[in-house]
Amino acid sequence: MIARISRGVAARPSQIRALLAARVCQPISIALAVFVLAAALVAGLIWRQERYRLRDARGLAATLAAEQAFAMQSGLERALSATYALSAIVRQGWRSGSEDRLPAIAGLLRDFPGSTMLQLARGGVVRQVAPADGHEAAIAHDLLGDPLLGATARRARDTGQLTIAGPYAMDGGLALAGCLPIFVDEAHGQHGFWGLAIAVIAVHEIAAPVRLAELVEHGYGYEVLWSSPDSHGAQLIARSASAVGSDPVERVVPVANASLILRLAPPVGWGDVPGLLWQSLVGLLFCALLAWQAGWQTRLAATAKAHERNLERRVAQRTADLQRFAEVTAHHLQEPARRMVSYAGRLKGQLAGRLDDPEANISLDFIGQQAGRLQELLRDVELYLAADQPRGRVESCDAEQTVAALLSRLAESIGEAGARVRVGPLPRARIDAPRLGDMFRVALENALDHGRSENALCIEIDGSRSGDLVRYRVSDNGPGVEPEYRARVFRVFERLSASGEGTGIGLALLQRIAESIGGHAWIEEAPGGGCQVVLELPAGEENLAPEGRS
Amino acid sequence: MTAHTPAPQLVILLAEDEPADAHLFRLALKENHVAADVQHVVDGREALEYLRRQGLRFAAAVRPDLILLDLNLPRMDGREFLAAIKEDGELREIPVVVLSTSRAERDVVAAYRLGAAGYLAKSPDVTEFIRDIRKLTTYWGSVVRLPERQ
Repeated sequence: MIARISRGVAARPSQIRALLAARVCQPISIALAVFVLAAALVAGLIWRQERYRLRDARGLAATLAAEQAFAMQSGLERALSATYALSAIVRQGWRSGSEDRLPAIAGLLRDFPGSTMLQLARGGVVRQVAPADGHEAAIAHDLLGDPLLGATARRARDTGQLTIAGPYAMDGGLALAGCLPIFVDEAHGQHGFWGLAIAVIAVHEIAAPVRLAELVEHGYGYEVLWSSPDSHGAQLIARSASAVGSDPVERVVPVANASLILRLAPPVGWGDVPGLLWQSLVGLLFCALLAWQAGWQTRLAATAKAHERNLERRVAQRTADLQRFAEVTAHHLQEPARRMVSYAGRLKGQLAGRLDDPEANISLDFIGQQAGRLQELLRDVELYLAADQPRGRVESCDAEQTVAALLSRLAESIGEAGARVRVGPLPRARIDAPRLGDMFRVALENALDHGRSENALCIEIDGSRSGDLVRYRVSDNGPGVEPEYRARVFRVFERLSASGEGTGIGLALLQRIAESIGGHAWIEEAPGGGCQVVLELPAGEENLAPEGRS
Repeated sequence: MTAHTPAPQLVILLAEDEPADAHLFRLALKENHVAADVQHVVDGREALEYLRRQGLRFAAAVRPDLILLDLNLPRMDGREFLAAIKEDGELREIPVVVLSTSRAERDVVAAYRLGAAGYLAKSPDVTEFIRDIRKLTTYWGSVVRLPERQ
């Protein structure tokens, strides 16, 4: 629809904006927008929560990995320290001159748990093994030339450092071999290579006391790897039955010339998929509820708005009907009132001089007066009810001409009051001529009725223009209106004197006309102390001749 | 035998802006042969000036025994007048009877709330009006006792 209107030449931006607003304000659009916004917010919150949870989980795993890795490092180092004991025994025997007698080493196995076999290799050739049973074949084996251990043995001899070989298969498991070179003091005061002290360590012996199984109980999969200069890359030496998930936590601890690596991760990875699903489901439900609520509220607001518009239409219609009824009623009631005035006058004329009872004359006078008053009241009520409706073309109205016509019409009343009326320059106002005439009539009648005093009544009508407004002033030299009554006299039926003078509607009518065209009316004290009725109205164009004036 | 003392003449302050209604009231008194002293004022403010003896015109004003009050008066209407005299320690005991064309319940209730001693809806039937005024003047002039005139 919008595209169609956009193509249309007649489509104006305001129409497009109104259509867009109507579309955007549809309950479904509002609900959708709220759902999208709420979903984005909920997704952000879940993502942030998951990030914190992941950080905590990896932190906990890192702590566990460090504990386990250090425990394995300690176990290994304890087992390897058997080589230092062997070295000490050999060097002691060397110094005591009994180097050819082989020391008893079997007891050391008890002191260094984790070592499953100890060997002493003089010049790199195995001379002694503990335990001896089952390992007789190892005697006289040249370690320096061994294809499996040779490189490690030679590195130990050449570097003088404890060096670890492996892992290699042994007795159905994996084993590591620590080679410590033994140097002794020779005759010339120099150190000489005696041989090697070997400690063979079964990997499962080291892993067992560490309780790696506890990691599995905590829901992790783990891998223990061994990395040494002789192994190309890290070699797996232990692992859990369950696989290690992606992006594991890794802890590396150095052992002699090698490194022990422990990797830890839940088998299914770090993500809490069920938790995320649950949170997402709750979040979606929340978003849907919010969207439904927003849509419902929008629908309610739209219904209320439509109801309000409907009520406004009905009230406007009823007000118009009532106003029309009141206008018609006021108009029709004037007819019998006029007839009463006519016939009272006629009756009084016919009975003139024939009535002896003065009370009868008084009654006839009152009937005539009251009928006339009723007629005036009905006329003003009718005018008041129609005060906000123009009775002709609203144009730049010539106030001077309007006032001149009015003075001509009220000449008799002005003469009866003995009033002198002076009219100054009057700028044009933007209004229909009949209503401008009504306003001046009310102001003038007000001056004629209430401006009388000991002095001859002088009425002054003048005006001025200020920007878009004109201001007319109708002043008299009468007693004026006390400040406390200046606002009150604009109420309907409000009078400041007893009956017989005015209907109490005139000034209310004047104010209603002024306000209906965006103007104001009020009362001030005239320069001479009398009453000054001020009308402030929208100005008319001065140099524009009014159209259609007869 | 005791000497006959004529009943003191009832002094009525009539606050009425409509000359025809004021004339009708006087006519009703005349028809009923009620010799009351009727003082006529045309609005609430003038009624207050009368009661307070303000200005040369009211310097020798007689305090009324009864006030008959129209509600719709210029300058100060009947409701404002009622409120004003009921707040005045000197005037509040003077009974005020409202005479109004209105038969609306809200006007009746409002008048009594403001301290009116009675409310008489003016009948459009002159005969009925004259009869009502007879009853009214009999009640306030003969039946009830009013405070001594000051």
